[in-house]
Amino acid sequence: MIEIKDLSVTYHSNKEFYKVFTDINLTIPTGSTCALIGPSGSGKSTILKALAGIITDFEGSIAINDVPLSPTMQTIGFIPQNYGLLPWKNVYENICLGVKIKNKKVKIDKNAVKSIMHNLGIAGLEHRYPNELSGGQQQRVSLARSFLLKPDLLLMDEPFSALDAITREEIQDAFLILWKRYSPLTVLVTHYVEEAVYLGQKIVILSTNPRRISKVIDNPIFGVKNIRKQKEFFELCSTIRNFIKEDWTTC
Amino acid sequence: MLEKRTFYGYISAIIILFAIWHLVAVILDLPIIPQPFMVLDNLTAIFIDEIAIHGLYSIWRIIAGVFLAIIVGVPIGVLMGYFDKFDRFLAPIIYLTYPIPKIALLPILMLLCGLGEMSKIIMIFLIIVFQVVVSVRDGIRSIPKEIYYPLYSLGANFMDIFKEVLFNASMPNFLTSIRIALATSISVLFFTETFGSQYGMGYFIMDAWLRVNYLEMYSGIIVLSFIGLILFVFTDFLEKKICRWQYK
Repeated sequence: MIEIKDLSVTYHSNKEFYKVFTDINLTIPTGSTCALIGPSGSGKSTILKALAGIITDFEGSIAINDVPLSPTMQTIGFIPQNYGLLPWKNVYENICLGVKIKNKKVKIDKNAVKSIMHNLGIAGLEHRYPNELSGGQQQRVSLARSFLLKPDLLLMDEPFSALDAITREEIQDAFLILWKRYSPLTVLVTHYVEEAVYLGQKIVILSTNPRRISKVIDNPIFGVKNIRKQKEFFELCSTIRNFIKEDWTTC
Repeated sequence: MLEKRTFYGYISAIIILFAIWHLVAVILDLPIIPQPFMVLDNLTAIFIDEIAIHGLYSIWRIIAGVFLAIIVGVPIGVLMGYFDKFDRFLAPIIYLTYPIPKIALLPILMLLCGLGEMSKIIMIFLIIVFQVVVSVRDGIRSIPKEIYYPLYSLGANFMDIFKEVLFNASMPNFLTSIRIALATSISVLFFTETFGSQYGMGYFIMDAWLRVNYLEMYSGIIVLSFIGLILFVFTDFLEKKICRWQYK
């Protein structure tokens, strides 16, 4: 379980201070996913960076299973928007990098790597470099790296937004299959309503002015097979979209 | 080390250059421009007995100077590129000292370090180190911040970041700077070796000139150029090896 209490982040640039958001409170149970959806500038990436331990200068508290958040104590997998692959490492080295940094003494389980690559459909690409891969393949490598870690917390910052619609849906499916197997606590940021409904067990809607959580929805149709083609899916999407339209324009 | 195609490229370039040289020598017909084949004859005759030792001295000085520049320049460049505080403090110092013509400091160096090896090596070091610092720093600065995020969230320490990111990211810039610096350092080496030395290609060439032995002078120039070529090709080779990911 991750517990965010009264989280506030203040940025200071050129001696000017401005609050990104104030008093965010959120609890996400272990083995579930949470999608943060908000307009640009709502601070959703900032929340994610705070959860990743990249921003440490915040007020309030973040705890995973009652232990204060710390990148060295817990295993946190972070997938940034551009996938965060190192261009000078091949696919295999990129996938192993997370485990290598986290547990310096542990030998990497080659079979585990193989099986994750197979599950994600990137078997045989071990020796390629990231710039020889398509965007979708790069994303799969990035997912493989994070899942190999067996993270306590998996964070994804608009992970599928740079992909074309078809590839995006394929990778969302690949992600869900893998997620169901390992079920790490996952927080993802998105600006697509469909993505939030498809991947988020909990959907958190953020607004810009004031920057706060305006609504938390427990998603009843998360994980249902072929849900993307069914009526409930469209209904929930349009409900959220209508709410957002009002919420984001009134501010 | 060389691909076949590149190798043939070098061969044909050598032939073209020698042809031009030959043409100029024949047309002008002056003792100061001897024909290339006479020079080559002379070179093969005296290389082992007379030139090789000078060549080895020159190579040693260049390698020692470059090595020293790497040892000092890379850590400074890495710190300046990664930590803004270091950059804010060191950049003005680097920028103020970079344009000073180092070669003008040679008399001072010779007084401080003597006429021997030290002053020559330090001169090469002084000329190269600035380029290494600036290029390594710029290479590291051009890394997008997102590259670091997954590593930070894993609790990576500075050594991890250096090993996995900074080292590799700065390599292409670093090797380019070495390649550019090598050309300068060969000219500088030539100059320093004409002072207070009995060994080195610079000494050999100037000595032959003073003895009005143009064949030996040209043989020396060819050897010094060849040393430069070998160092260039070696840097290229290193780049292809270490920065293979760039060419994919």
